Amino acid sequence: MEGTALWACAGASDQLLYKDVEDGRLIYDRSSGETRLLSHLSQFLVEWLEAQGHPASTADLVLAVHAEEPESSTQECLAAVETALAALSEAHLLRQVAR
Amino acid sequence: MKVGELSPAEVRRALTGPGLRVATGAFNCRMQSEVGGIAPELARLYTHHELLDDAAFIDFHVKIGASRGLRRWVRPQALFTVDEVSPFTPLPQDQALPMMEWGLNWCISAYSHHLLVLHAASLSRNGRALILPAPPGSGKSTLCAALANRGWRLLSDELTLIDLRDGRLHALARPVNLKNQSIEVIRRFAPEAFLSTPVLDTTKGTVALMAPNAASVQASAEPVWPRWVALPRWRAGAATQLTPMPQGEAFLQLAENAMNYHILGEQGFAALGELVDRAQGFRFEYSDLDEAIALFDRLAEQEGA
Repeated sequence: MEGTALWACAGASDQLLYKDVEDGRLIYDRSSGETRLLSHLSQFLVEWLEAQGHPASTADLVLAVHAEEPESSTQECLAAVETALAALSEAHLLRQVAR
Repeated sequence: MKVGELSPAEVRRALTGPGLRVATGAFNCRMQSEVGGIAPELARLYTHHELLDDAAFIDFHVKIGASRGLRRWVRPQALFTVDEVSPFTPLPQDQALPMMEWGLNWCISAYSHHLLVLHAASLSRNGRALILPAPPGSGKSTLCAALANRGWRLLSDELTLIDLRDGRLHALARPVNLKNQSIEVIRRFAPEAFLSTPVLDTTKGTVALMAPNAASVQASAEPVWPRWVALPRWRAGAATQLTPMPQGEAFLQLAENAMNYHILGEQGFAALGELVDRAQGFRFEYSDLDEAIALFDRLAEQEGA
């Protein structure tokens, strides 16, 4: 599913606590006790997906980031998006769905 | 009445008998020891601490026991107990004095979940606290001892205590644990400070304890607002450098150095969140103690201006 999957928001969870800080967003997971720091790019991806209202591909997300950061190359955007997606997936904030 | 007002014989009698009841900032302790030989140095280390009367509540009843039977004669050992429980294996008897300090630190870390406990040194100047969280070997205790000998108030060299209700720091003002080369560094840096006789071959290497000064002990009941968090790193020949650390990164560093963050759960998350809101975070690299102190003095002066 990896290459062809779409990304969707996992939906609000009452297990998560948030704190916005200057270098991103801290997330505390009540169920696991884990704390993570998500980058501003991760936040942007979640908000963009929420605004779309439907799942999107990695390529769509790269295009969205590139539109915000036209001075960065698409390769740079792809690398940054992949890192952010991995962190979001690990934090259970995004999930992959079949096309 | 203070410990220093007792005669050496009285300290020894109290330690080997009903116990030395001492106020150490946020906690009251009753110290007993069957190893009477630690009495003179323990009295010097706690000379400025208030003695408690029999009615005072005691948080920790701690004791250093001496080995029995043949062990009395062959490689004698010391055993730490708190409320009759022994959390550690016995150690050689010459380690009895540092063992008392390690044991008290263990008690605080294990039982004080009404506070967020960080593995960090903390000091204050002009009513604002500096927190130095760091792993062993970072130069934390050396820097802490040096600052404490140059006008900064010692809150704690090892355990920083954060009140979950309002975010203020509580003091311990107990002896500073110096290891290996730090002992000679501080001996030269502050010849007026009392350091206990170095104990060789402990699990931490050679250790000695430095007595807190009178001002730090006298102020130990006053909580302080946190203002700076600096992650120290000593590196030979390094230029003194203070580099801002973003809030999120500072949060994760503090969480990693917290003894009970995972036990406190949401409360720990909230307390550390408030801490990074109040305190500026930095990475701090240094090799020269005088330069390091001058830098933190300037930071405190700028804040006070």
